[in-house]
Amino acid sequence: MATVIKDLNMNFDGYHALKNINLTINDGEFVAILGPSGCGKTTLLRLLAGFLKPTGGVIKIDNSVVADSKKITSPNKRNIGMVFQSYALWPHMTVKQQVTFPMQHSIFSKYKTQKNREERTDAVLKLVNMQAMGDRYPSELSGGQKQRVAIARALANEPDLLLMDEPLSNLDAQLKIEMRREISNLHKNVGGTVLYVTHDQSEALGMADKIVVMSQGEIQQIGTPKEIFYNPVNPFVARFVGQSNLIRGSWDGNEFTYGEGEKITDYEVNDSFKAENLYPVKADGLEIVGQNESHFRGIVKEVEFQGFQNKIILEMQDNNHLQVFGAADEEIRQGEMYGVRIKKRKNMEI
Amino acid sequence: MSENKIRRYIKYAVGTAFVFLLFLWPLLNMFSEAFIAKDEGFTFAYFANVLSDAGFAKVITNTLLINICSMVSAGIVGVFLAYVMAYTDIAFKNILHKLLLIPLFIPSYIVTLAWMQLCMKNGLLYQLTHFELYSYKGIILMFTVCQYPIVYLMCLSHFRRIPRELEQAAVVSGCGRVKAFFKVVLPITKITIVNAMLLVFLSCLDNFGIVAFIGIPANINVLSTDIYKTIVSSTKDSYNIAAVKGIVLSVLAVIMMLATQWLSGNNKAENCEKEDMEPRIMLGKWKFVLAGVMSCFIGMFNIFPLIKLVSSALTKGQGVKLSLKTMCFDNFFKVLRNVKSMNGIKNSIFLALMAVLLCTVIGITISYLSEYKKDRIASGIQAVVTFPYSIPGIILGLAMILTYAGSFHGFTIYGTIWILLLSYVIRFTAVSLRYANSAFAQLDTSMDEAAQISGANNYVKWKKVIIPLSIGTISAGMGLVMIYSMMELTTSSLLWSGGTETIGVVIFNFTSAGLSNMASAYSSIIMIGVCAVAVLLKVIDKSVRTIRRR
Repeated sequence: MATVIKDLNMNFDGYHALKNINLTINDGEFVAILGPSGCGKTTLLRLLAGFLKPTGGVIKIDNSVVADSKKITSPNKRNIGMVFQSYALWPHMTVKQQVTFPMQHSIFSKYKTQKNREERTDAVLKLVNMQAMGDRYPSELSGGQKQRVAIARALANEPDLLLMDEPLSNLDAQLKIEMRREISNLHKNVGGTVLYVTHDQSEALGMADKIVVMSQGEIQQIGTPKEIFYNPVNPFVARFVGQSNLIRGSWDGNEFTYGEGEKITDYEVNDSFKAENLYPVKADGLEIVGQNESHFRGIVKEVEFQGFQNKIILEMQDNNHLQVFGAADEEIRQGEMYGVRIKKRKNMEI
Repeated sequence: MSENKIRRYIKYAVGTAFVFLLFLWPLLNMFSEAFIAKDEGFTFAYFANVLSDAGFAKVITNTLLINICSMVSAGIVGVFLAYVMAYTDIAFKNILHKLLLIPLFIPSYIVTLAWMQLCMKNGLLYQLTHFELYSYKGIILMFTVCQYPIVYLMCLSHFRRIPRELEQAAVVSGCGRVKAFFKVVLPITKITIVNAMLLVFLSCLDNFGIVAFIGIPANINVLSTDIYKTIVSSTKDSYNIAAVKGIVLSVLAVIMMLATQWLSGNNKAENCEKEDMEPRIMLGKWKFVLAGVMSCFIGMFNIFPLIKLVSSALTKGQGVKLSLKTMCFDNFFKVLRNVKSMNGIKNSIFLALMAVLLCTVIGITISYLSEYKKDRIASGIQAVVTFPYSIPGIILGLAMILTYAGSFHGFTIYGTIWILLLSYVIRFTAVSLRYANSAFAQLDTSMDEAAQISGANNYVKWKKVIIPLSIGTISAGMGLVMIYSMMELTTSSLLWSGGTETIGVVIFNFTSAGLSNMASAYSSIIMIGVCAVAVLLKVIDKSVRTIRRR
């Protein structure tokens, strides 16, 4: 049931929205496509759904070609489900009618009799905890409830591939976290392949088996959440997903010089950082020292107490801002100058 | 090129050619008539004749004078009413609102006929006020009475969209209500108001009923009546002369049209998306007083004339006062026994039903392709189809005569009912199209996509999703096309012939023949019929809704 995307390209009147996308989505996987708005992630999703025809490349679902530059299989002839960003619930149908709809009309429907469909509708509504609201119209539902109905509708016909287009972006923060947990659980319980588009890195990191980071129509990195977070391959991924500080300096082989002559040697930094003379380091990979103990100095702009730790923002001498975690009991005074050092990693040679 | 693509192009070529021939060809044909003499070929002679004619200059000044005055007075009335209805908590708001819209649903020639009965020389109104209806003042009054709802409706909606904080800020800064209106509300809505007034101007330019019923007897000619007279005078080159005058009228109409488009394109005022229906000015006890004053005016201008119309239909001779003694139903019986008047009802119903069907199908198709599928060729076609709506009906009538008067391979539609149907379709498809556009604009593309993702094919998608979701708006458009076609007069007055009379033509003929009691009786029957149908539709609509809800 794998979905294979090969050399996919999409042009809109001269605007190159997708450039040579290659991606395999395995059966049962939860894949998140992560990127800022305008990176092409929604275009990719719409190509998979069949609403757009690619200008180049091939999409195969289960070894049969569903789209290339000449021909596409229309959405109703692909066995897919989709949760829209706006939910797209039909205002003139009740919750039950929405959920039954795909079973009635899809050529892939496994539920041929009215009784089968009713049972399935009840089962799916139970799954999303909406069994009591079956006769309501969308206008009578809250945001979170609409969301659940949209998911129930997408799941009803047991699609081979479930597409989700920023499904949580219209919910408030509390509901977002709740629904995130529910979608994860749903995936664990129901199985099935999910492609989840989002611009929120915490959603991607928290739910996905595999993350695809995109920017400007290109895939930047594919990997597990841990790989993406800890080993970003380029400055974009480091900034967007890893919440890394990027320290300016200069590379000479594996030796990085920063501040006024501070040096560190690291064998694991990707060449793309070296090309831009940057060093990626997380907030917990830095330590604050007295201003005479380091040649890399800055003024503390903000100290935010976070319970277990302090989050400290420094403005460095090169006007770069750094984020550093410090121990909660360590006293750092706002407005004063401190030195900053990159901590040694366990497997790092000095 | 793939086979699919070729097929698509062929479809478009055929569609475009069809639309062009149907909608534009007659008009282009008429424009060329202005420049081509029978024996000499291309000539400017007709143009020179018409433009140097002092009579025609008078016609133009009349038109401009009457239309501008009407536009200003309809503007003032409309803005005032809209402000009161949008912002105050006047009592019985819903009923008053509906009563204010009466002139939208009763054709202007029936309203005029009613006022003609009201302003009879021996009537009470004339003896009290000596108001002469058959004059410039009379025409302007009629235009105002018939056209203010355009301004009223547009301003009502805009006033409600003005964020109330804007006004509150003005009040906090020390403005009174009146000052806030002139300093804040009016400047914000000025483009909408001007736009509405231009639409009134356009509508007056297009109008035939009022100027024909009042203007012709008073010998006040405006463009549409002048063109009508030229056409029916049937002299050697009357069609050519009429065509030249038609061009002048079209140019005026198109300029107005472009002006309104330009204005609405430049309307950048920031407003709320939603209409705020809550009143902003609390009148206290005065809300009943205001409602009383308002209903007096509505009664005087919108209702009393119609009552007078019915009552004069119930009297035997013209100008006879109605009492139990003089009341009789002779006029009604005469009208009902008259073959022509019955023909009119039959024809108008047939034409209206057919026009609704055709306009809706064409409108939905074009709108779906251009608005929903964002197809560029369809957008071009849309522009072509909307064009004839902005051209005054008298010109379309002339164009239809010129184009279809001859026979086409032994097949003539001139003089049959089909030429009327064709001209209605040309005129009113734009209305269906506009409503279909707004239906599709409200329909998010994801509705359609969600249906496709759920496995629906095209048929199911339309039946279960697109049509149920857009039917409300589209049927409003259908209702409008229905009313317009039933009550059409301008084009019909040129294109009818024995046996193909329409309702408007029958009333026009009765009135021109001086049989105003017959005309009143006939109008009364039509109004009662239309009301009955409207009530019936409302009842059906309500019961369908309750059944669906269950």
